[in-house]
Amino acid sequence: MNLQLIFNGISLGAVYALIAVGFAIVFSILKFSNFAHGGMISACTYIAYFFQASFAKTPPLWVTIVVTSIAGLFIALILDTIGYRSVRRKNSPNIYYFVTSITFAILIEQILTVFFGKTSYGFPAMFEKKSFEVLGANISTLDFVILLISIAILIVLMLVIEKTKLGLAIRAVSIDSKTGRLMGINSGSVIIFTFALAGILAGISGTLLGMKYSVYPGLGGSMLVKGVIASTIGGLGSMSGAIIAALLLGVIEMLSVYNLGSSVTPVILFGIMLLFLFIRPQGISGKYAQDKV
Amino acid sequence: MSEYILKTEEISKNFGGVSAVDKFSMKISEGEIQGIIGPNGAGKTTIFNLLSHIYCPDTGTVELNGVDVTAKDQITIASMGLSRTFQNTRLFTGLNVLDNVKVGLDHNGKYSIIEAFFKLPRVRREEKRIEAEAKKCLEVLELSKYEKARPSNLPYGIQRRVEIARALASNPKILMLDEPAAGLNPEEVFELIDFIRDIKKNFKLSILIIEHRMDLIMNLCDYIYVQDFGHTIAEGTPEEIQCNPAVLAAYLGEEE
Amino acid sequence: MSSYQISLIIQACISVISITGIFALTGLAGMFSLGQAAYMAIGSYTTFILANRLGIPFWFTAIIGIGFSALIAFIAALPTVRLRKDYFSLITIGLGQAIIALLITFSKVTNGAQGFTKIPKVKNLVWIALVITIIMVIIIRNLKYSRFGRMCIALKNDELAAKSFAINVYRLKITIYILASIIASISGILIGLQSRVLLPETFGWTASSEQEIFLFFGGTNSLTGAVVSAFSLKILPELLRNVTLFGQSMQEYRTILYCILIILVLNFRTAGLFGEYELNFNFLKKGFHKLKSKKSAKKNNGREDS
Repeated sequence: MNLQLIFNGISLGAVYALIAVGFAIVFSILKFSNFAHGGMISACTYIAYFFQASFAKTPPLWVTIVVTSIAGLFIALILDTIGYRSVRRKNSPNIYYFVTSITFAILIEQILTVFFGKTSYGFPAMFEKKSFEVLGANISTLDFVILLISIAILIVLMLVIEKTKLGLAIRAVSIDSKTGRLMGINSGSVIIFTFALAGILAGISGTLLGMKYSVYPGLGGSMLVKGVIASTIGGLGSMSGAIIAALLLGVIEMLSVYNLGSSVTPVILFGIMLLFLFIRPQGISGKYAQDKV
Repeated sequence: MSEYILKTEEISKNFGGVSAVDKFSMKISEGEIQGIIGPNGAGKTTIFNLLSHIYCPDTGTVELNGVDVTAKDQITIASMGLSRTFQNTRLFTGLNVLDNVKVGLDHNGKYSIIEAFFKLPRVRREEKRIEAEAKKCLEVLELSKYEKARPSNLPYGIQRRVEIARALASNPKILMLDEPAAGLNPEEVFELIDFIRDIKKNFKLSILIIEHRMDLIMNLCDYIYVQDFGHTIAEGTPEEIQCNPAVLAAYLGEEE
Repeated sequence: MSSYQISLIIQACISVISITGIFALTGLAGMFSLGQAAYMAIGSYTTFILANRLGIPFWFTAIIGIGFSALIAFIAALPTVRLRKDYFSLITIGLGQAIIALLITFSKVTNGAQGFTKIPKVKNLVWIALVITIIMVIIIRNLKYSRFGRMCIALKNDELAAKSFAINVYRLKITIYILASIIASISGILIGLQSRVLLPETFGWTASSEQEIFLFFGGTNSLTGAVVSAFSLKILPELLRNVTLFGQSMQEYRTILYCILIILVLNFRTAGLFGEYELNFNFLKKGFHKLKSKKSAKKNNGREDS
């Protein structure tokens, strides 16, 4: 029993990790909480559903994921063009990024609600063999596949951040964008690339979440909350912290739902976040942006 | 009662292994003007940040008016009569010049928020007093004609003067000026020297200045501390400092 | 005037009352909260449930309702005002959600999602609403021009510099937060009186974000802008009631409309429609003084002659 719970928790945590990283990556560059991420996830979930449903024979999973990644990328770039760009140009205080992202989040959720109604859709079944046994625990194929995909994406992401020139640029800009510019890094394009990356992550998360849960406008929002909690516990802006925290969060959530029920669980998760905020605001990783005098 | 307005005993500050300030001691009495000079990176602004308690000293003690304030926080220190300007002007962009200066007086305002809601007579009286005091500070620095202007629309030199006016408004016992002449042309620097002299004449306070510009420091200060890499390499009157070989070697010898 | 139009005016008044609180909170003190609707809920539910259970007129229980709101605000503010702005906003969202969840969990008392309807009818509600609106606008306007207003703007612009002028930023933030919660609870009570039903979904985060959107549209620095914005944006969807798009009444698009307007404003007039402009009645005062000085000049002339 326990092994199954833990496995489910890790699988859930892996998806949260994708969301948390998408959130953390924008925070580390621009120092604001990008709520629009939830909206992007919701939108991509719908795109994934309609893409799959429009073919007589359900396309393979990897195709859907590629499609939604591209969709997520485009949505992110659109949001950047109509919203974030003007904040950058005018050098407005950070709060305007925040307000813009909240507006986008509401806008997307409302558009989805108005056009697709409040009914939820369900993805067609993906796998023939619904589950298999490992060491006495019943592992759902879906969860297993989600876990694999998430881990793969995260590894690729970490490699990009740590090993490529672009990743280096991102890290530099996240520490100090002015010095970055002096060093020849075009912070404008790094920012756009970061948004694009977040968009791709949102797209992938959207597909995976849609498969695991059902498709409704608020999906992105409620999942984002988990991502935010993970990101906060992990240390806002730290990617590795977000991943570790997300995995832990998934496991804790599973255990809590099983032992204490699903209505109390959100309160517990939120409570853990509050605990961290007050006792260790810099989170697990210890990253914490501070005011310079 | 101690005779010193501000006294520190060997305060130090470390940042991740780098010693920004190492055992800095100073004492300043009422009415004195003292200066801290040194090359960039010598830790001068860190000293100011320690004194105004933006940072807490790792070691050493700070005494304000004879009271040990080493462990106190920034807000308390400010309310005890320590006022400062910043290296990069930090004026409030959402307020005009007059309001910026009024802010220096606001924490001591004698009416409550409920009274403010209904603009009771006491509010009007207090606001009149605050306005009069703020205008006086602007006058001393010849800024009266900029009263209604927004800081972001003003030339840099004027902004720096507004900062001084604002710090002055809080009626401090010690006024700390962080590089007040930075970015000013020679004519403006002469004006500044006169302004600081006027301030000393019209207000009862001590002044502590961080500066690069030798003309300002030598002209105004009664006593000078010379910092380099966080250490005090020399201290004394302007005449003493001018002749000090260590100072000449480390600092005055360089072309400004 | 039809009862529909009257109800519209009341709704507009409620919107304006709420925005004065948001103006103080976000416009003056720079605290961005997406959970103000929670205090609307606390205020209204407490007031009407107590009135119903204890059989006392709601005017009295309203005081308890508002007081309870203020208390919760105080408890919520104490630990959170020292956190970064992002964290603060996140927590306000959580608080808002938590209150809604509580309202549904305790359906025995609150009648949950079906709505609490035991609310008395008040005659001439529109006059009460108008009076409260005017009082609130005056209060917040006076606040803005007082030393507290200045200190709030100072702490919003630069918290560190504000502290260096002995402004107790934490105490000030807590005070303003409590003030905003009181105003929110008052508007919540009015919502109850007007619609005669309390539903948890009315107080969700859409309601909270709506108010912040109104504020940013009108201008975070202008009370006039905030008031005009709150008034007109609230009425606008009602006016477009009969216009349809894709087969659905414009009403459904209300929130989408708000979002689009905000994005336009943020792009083209970031400071808000009204920017820094504040309506003031100085021109009236000047005219009055001119009249007085003319009169006294005439008097003096008369005396000199005689």
